[in-house]
Amino acid sequence: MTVSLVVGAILLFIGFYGVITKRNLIMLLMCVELMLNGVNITLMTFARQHVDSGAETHFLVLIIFAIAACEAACGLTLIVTLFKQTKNLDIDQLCDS
Amino acid sequence: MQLAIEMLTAFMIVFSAVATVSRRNPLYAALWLINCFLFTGVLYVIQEAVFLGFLQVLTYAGAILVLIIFSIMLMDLRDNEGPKERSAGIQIVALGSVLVSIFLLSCFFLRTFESSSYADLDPKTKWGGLQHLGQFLYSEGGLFPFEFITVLLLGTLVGCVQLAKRKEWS
Repeated sequence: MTVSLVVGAILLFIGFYGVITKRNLIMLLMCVELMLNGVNITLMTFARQHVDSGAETHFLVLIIFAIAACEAACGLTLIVTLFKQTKNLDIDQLCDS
Repeated sequence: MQLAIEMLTAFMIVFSAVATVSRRNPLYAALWLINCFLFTGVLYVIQEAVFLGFLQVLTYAGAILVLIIFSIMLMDLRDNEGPKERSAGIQIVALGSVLVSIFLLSCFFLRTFESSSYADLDPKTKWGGLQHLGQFLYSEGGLFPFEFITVLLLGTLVGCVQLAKRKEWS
């Protein structure tokens, strides 16, 4: 069980590292997905440990799935629209211009 | 045996995540991310949450990552045209803080849940299956969040269509 918890923590912080260091917008989006995945793993491990409240936690993970899907759809629409306008995905250059 | 499989899955998840972050080409990063999500699905199945394991593969590895890869293909990003990384100083500081955070959180988990293993399952409860989740979903406690997800998805749909239809940006 602790293995899964540690994996959840590692995934969360690997995603965080990517969000800080990457400049490509698509890579940022993927790192956010990685962070959400780490949270999901932690939630599922706690749900497995406390079986009585399992359904609620399952449902919470399901909500995170839906939110991740919405975030990916909205984010990619914005990124594609931005790329059509500026032909650039570098966040530093986009902030400067 | 189960612990060995869990350790192997955990290693593959972390390896794929590191490979995702370390690739410069977004397409290769997306492929490694698919690998990471597939093994996360395996981890859910090990935890006997079979339905969520399938859902993980279907929505994350199936829908979201295909959307990301499709967008990368649509934008036709070349490897050498991609943005450069941030400066080495920021990368070292970020890596240091992330490693310290992982160490502290892992120590907390290892100390708090030192000897705890997974709880025993009662076969009557059908934990982790579709019936287990479905009964909660259509009960009084699950109905409001269910409708919340519906409205959220509808709002996203309308928002994305509106964004994509707009021709001119002021």
